[in-house]
Amino acid sequence: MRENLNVILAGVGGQGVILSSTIIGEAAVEEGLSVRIAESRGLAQRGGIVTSHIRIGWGIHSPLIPKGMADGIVGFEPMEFLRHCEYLRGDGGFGIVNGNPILPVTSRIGLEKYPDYEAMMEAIRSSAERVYIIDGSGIAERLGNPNMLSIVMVGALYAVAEPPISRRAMEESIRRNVPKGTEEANLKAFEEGIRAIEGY
Amino acid sequence: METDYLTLDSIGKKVLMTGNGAVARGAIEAGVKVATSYPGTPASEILSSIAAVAKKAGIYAEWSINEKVAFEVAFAASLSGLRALMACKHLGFNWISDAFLVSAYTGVNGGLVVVVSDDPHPHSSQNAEDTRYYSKMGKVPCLEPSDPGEARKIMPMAFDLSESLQLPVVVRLTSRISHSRGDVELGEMRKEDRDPKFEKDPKRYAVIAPHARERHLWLNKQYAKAAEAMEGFPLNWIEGPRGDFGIIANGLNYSYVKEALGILGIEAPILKLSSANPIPRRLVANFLKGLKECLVVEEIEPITEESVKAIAQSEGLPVKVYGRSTGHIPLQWELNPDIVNGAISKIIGLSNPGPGLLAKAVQLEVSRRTPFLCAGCPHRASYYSIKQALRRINRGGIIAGDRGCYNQGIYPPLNGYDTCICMGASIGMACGFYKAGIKEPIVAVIGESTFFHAGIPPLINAVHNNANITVVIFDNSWTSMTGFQPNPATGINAMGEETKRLNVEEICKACGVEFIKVIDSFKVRELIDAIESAINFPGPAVVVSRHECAVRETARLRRRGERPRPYAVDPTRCTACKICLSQFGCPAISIENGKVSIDKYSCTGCGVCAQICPSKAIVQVEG
Ligand SMILES: Cc1ncc(C[n+]2csc(CCOP(=O)(O)OP(=O)(O)O)c2C)c(N)n1
Repeated sequence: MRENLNVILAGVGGQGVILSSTIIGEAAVEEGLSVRIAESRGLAQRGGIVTSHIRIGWGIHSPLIPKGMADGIVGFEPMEFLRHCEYLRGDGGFGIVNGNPILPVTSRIGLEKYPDYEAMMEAIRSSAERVYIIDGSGIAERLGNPNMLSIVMVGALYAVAEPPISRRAMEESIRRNVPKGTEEANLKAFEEGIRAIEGY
Repeated sequence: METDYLTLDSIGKKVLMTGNGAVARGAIEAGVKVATSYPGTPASEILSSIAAVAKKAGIYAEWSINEKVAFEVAFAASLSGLRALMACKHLGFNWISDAFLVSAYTGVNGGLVVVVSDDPHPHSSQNAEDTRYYSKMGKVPCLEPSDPGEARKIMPMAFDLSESLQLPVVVRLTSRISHSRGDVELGEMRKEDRDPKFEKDPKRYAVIAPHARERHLWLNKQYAKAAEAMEGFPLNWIEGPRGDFGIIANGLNYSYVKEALGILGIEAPILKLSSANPIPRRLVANFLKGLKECLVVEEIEPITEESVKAIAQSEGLPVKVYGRSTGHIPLQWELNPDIVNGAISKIIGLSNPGPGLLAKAVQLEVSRRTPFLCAGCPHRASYYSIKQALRRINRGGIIAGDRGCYNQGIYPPLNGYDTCICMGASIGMACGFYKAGIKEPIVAVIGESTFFHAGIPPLINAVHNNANITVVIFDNSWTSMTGFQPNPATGINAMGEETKRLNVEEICKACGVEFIKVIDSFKVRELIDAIESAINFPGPAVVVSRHECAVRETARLRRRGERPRPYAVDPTRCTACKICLSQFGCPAISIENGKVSIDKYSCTGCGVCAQICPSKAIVQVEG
């Protein structure tokens, strides 16, 4: 367990980045920790970039993480992971990446090139000391709902970062924040996220 | 969830809240009774939070037709003795300025707090403007919280201050406070049970010129009292050791300064300022005494910096003052801890860049990810139809745009409009292009919420001055851009009650427009015909392109357990002409290795691509 944690969640509008940061942030507050979260949600509904800087623990001030001081980056989408790499610390940083690309519209309709998949994976693997590329979208889909990607990623982050938050507090926060009736499925998604790291 | 915390009666409990949510909570704690707003990022969630609990908390909340009206509603509530709040983004403040600047002359009764969120970067606005100028112009106090916790705390203080000075009070946020979250300690829920009562006093409330001269005198006295009150404002303080180099930090920048000093491993005297206007002169002078250099860190314009220089000069203090006007901090864009770190390092001559440069540079070019109109968005069909109509007429065409989700239509392949300035400018500028003698067809595009906000006066102007323009109203029945707030075309109000639904076409008719057609946005052939006839009509003409916002429509289907019936490409008929991509560009359609396909999950079944496909290769399938 660490004293404090600085992570960036990065993804695309609709992937649940904000929900993930709410779940982690609320659990941390329940544990009596100080929390700062900076969200850039721009035009999230419209497929734009969504990021969340999450800071938990003591001695934190700014909601924005200074460059080079993120303990880890969770990429809900591989290109979005790479876009935020400059925030990673040089020593001991980690990366967790859902390996499933979402092409920008301009790439889909053939106006702009999306990075080559292999080159992207290579860059991701060399970006941090510990890198976990998981099939987050696949896990969520197998659990019956692609929207649960955000909870799978929360599980993976919980397993890698070992934040000073009890598992019970995490689970309660998930229960409180997911749509009614989907609580059990989402707790399963959380567990599958943890397992994806443990079995890595 | 945040809404649960808004009315929780649990002093001292810490909860996670956004800056906007914390402002709402603080206002509720202070006993606000009337809250108004017109949506605008980054301020929208202040009113939507209050509205979500309004009935429970005994508050009246409304989405007004525009900011000016919102201010006037809150202002009259305040004159009636109630505590009232009005919230807007910086651009909304331009709209209220007329009423706001005079409200300082009448003064207020119940506390009146205007919460404004500025967008320094700007992340989601047409410009970055510093609302503190308005507070100086109006001689109205302005407070600036440094984090969500302080945003909660500052609201009851703002209401109290407003009542003690009888002046409105501005609470200035920035996008980074509005949309950042932190642990917020809940305060006491005050019970403010007041009966509304308006005591007539025309010398005060009817500001004709002779009265205005008297009230100006009064305002100057109140402003002097405000300056005195700021000297002891509890959220201003001096901290840190003594030294030659000190830092003055406004609002949120306090956190960047603390962060930067931590990274650099140094200490310095800090003056944390949460009162932006009037500036506490004695406190600043005290802080400056003994300093050789002082950095002022503030968001957008060097307002505090200029005041600090003036104070140093009048007190005869030999301190060099740095900030945005001296180039130590850039004059544009949002600040962050790295910029503040750079400014401090430069002044004290540190070359240590902090840990930033330790990060490995990733050598891979990432592509842009521009936001877009959603799959199935009716605006795409409207733009496509305007372009097709102009193509048929073949005399060029100028499209004056407006503010709304339809702004995403600027990107290829739609390249939907040529100008976008501010709410309502589409119709006003269309009049101007016509009167300037432009011979091309002139089309204004405007959403229904923007039309209600600012489109009606310029439409009347077009009729009155006979401007031969075509106005296409993109009516999706929600204020979508800012988070799907209801407006008069929706049929519900901020508190979820049913209200009379207004039809824009009836308003246009009453304005004297003689050509009006209402078409479903998804019937593209009819829409193109209607726009073509409107352009050919001699005189102002209106086409209402109406279809509900795709996000709202699919959400409603899903709630009923239904799914949209998607379309698919029949590969035996598709000739890969790419018209669906190069002229329409729905994000559900993509091309890979020369093969066009439709993603059945994102397709909403609007069927427009099927209508425009020359080979009839797009067909509806079972979901
Ligand atoms: C003075 C001012 N107030 C608010 C805004 C924020 N804003 C931008 S567009 C918009 C309204 C959009 O509604 P509508 O015209 O119906 O278009 P839609 O987004 O629904 O397509 C608002 C409130 C602004 N830019 N300027």
